[in-house]
Amino acid sequence: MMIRLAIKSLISRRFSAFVCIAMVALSSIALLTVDTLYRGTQSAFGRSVQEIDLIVGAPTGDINLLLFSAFQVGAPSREVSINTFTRWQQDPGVARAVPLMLGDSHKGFRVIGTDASMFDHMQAVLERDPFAQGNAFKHVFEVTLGHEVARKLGYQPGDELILSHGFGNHSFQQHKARTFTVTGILTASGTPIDKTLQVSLDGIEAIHWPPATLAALPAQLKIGENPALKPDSLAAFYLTLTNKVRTFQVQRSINQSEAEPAQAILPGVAITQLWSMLDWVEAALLGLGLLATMVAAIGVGSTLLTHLDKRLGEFQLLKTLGARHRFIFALLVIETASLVALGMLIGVTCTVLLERAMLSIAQSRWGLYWPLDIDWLWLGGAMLSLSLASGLLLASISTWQLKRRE
Amino acid sequence: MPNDYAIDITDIEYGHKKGPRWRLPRWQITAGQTIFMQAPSGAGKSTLLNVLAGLIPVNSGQLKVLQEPLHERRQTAPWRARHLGVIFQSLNLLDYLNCLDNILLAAHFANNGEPRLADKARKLMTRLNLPQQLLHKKASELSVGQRQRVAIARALINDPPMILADEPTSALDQDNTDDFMALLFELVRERNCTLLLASHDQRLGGSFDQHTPLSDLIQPL
Repeated sequence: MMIRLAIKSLISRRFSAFVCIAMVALSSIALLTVDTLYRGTQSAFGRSVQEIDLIVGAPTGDINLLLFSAFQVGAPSREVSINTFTRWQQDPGVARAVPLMLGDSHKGFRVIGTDASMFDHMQAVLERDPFAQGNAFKHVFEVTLGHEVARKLGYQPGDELILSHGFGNHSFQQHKARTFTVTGILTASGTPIDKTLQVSLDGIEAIHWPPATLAALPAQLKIGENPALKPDSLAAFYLTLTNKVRTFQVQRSINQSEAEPAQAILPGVAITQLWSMLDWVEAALLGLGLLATMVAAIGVGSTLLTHLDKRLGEFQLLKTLGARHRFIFALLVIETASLVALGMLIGVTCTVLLERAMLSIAQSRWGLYWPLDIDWLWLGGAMLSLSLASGLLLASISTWQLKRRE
Repeated sequence: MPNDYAIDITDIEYGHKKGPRWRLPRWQITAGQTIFMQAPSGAGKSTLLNVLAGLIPVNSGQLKVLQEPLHERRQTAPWRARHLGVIFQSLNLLDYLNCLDNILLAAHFANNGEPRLADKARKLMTRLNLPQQLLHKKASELSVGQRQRVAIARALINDPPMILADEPTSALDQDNTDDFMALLFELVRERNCTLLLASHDQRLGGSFDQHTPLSDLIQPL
């Protein structure tokens, strides 16, 4: 009878009940989305250094090295010599060494000078063919594009483009002497690579030649064919080891190298450092989510308490008919708890659907991917206890108010 | 025969926490009587009826209703549900329940385990000249006259030994009032119920066994 009474009473106040449910649902969406966003960002960060055991560059700060080499933010202050790179590239303990030359751009997108190992690296990250269209560059004056670059600028394989010196979009010297032909476009990976163009090390070296000498180079020049195009130094390089256990050993021997001062960092550790600098973001996001929840709580509370005035007669009648105080209390608990539970259920369902939908869009457009790991036991427990707690709280306030009015 | 008193009051004091207070020195009502309690509005009729129903506790003295010493009881709700039928001026029914549920609600609180309660409600409705279809209509869809008659059915569903009625006709027109009073008396006499009806309206008093002006009973403190 009590549940019947609660349901019928709620249905008779369906408008305000609906408003309460909507408020709870929206705040749950806000709270859960904030959490997902945060986890998504974290996973996107982690993805940028996936499959990289060590990042090596000239001595600088850990975070600086991480930022310019893996996130294309900032610039190296010094470079590391090609000899150091070759030394480690040929080391039997190294599975893959990816060289990076930075400093040029195209229409605001950064250009990375690298070699075919970059595409092996991407293949390892994506676990499939890294090329959405075309294939890797084989000649000096060929370029491949990150997914985002191709999408924004509308390039197709076969298009020709000009690289410019420096990172800006305008007013920089353009390397007009030679154009580069697009040979391939990478799949979206959700990493900063999506926003870069990749050319060979020889290509980067070539465009910095004086125009007259550059003009003398043949158009179909194979990479490595002209030894004069071999660069002297690199901005940084990635190392992937065959045996991860040796990571610290390799790191130490790079850092203590007599041949050239160099620095090797563990990208995972550097990212953790970066995160600890940014933990206020998490706090701020969580704060916003909690604020939304509080607004909803106050809204629901005030709506239900306002209704209490109109229901004084109803409660008086119930008491006259012989309802005990605890019956009315339980009735109020059931009403509030079911509103909150329903709102949270709708909120969670909406969030899951929204995330599923967003995930497929995010995956195809930006290559962003994050696991939708919902701990149902935890969530269910939270929903149950939160709705019960709010029911008890509101029923206590209500019965206190009713007592005062007797 | 002291055991036959439906109401037996000795020197009680009662009132609202922050309102008027009264003293009632002595009042005895024999079971099965019909009593008309006349008083102008605001004289304290409802308060006295609430005291008799156990909804307002007495501060001192002895209050026995249907032999139940209410002055000693803290929890009166189950007793009230089983032994009293109460009819108000209005607000007798929960608007969001249908008539049948409203009637059965009283049975629920009284822990009334009788079989075929719905049939009993249906019979009462027929006795009260209410069409059966009304049982499944929401209380809010009924006319005032119909609502007050459903209130009689609700008050009688548990066959209580006493009915308390507080201005039950003041929302009704003359025809409806006459109908209501006639039906109420018929059903109360059939069941040999004690009826205590409080009203400001002298004209209702016609067929009652006993007239008791409230001013003869209570003294303000």
